[in-house]
Amino acid sequence: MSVILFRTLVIYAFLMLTMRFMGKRQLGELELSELITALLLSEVASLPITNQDIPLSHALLPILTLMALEVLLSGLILKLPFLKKLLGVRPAILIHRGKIDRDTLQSIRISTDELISQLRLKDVTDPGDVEYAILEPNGQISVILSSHARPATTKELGLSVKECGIMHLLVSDGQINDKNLQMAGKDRRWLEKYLKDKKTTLEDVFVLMADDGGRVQLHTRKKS
Amino acid sequence: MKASVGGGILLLILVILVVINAGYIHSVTDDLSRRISALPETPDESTVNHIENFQKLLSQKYPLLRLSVSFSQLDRVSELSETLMGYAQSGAWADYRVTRALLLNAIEDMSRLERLRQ
Repeated sequence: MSVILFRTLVIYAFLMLTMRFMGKRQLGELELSELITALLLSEVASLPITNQDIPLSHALLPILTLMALEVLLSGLILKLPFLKKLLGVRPAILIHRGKIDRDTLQSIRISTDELISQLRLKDVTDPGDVEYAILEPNGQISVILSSHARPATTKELGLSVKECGIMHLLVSDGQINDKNLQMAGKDRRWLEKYLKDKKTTLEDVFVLMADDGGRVQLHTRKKS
Repeated sequence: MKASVGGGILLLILVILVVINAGYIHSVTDDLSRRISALPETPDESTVNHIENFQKLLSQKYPLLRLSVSFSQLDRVSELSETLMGYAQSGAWADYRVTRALLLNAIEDMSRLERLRQ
């Protein structure tokens, strides 16, 4: 088992270096170490399932080792700046004040076409409208539009709008969600009264939602 | 941070367990190797008894050994010891000697995963 532990550590370190040099493009939604761990875990876990000759410990040991490494590393990255730099988890600015940073694009091996494509996915057609486009550590590109290109906020328009928060699902298929009722600032007594006013019963409710501003939406099973 | 400390402690525990396991495997395989090495080149009256003792020891250690040694390796050692017994009883000296060497090899294989230098 010593060899298995040693190999796990070596392969983990090796994959980290490999993926680091391959760049952020391969990461997708995951951080570098998370991707490595996910790749290795799936391979290791399947070994004793498909090969009965392998003792269970030959899978459990690498799994536990990978878990320990992942947790340890993610904590150390927070505390040690050099480690963060080494593992390449810093964001990269691709566009600044409407200008595409060609050097950064080249260093992380993203073509202009790919960048424009990513902007389109964010509903941006003109890079000149972008104040910042940042390649995040998880491989996603975040786009901050310039003030002339983004929609005006109610604050900028001098409007006073009631905060409506989010829609809370209070009842689903006749089942009451007490936690969401509480979050919406309501209770069962309010619910009973509301349903009575709407001349409907709990069993007939398909979906009942309310937002933090007090707006309520009711959808019943009955056809109107 | 607590999670990181936990991760570090878990890693340390794993290393300690692996070292203990390696020590155990080495100690068992050394004992098994010694018993087979101590067998005479040509079987005599005591050879069969020694092989039986070897097999008893293997059976005793089997439950813990199989946690980290593959079943095929353990089975191989077991089968070779049976074969050795057969040759010792039948007096097939040449086959006995070859099987003895193979058995020593198989016992050494059991500790292969505990040796970083192969």
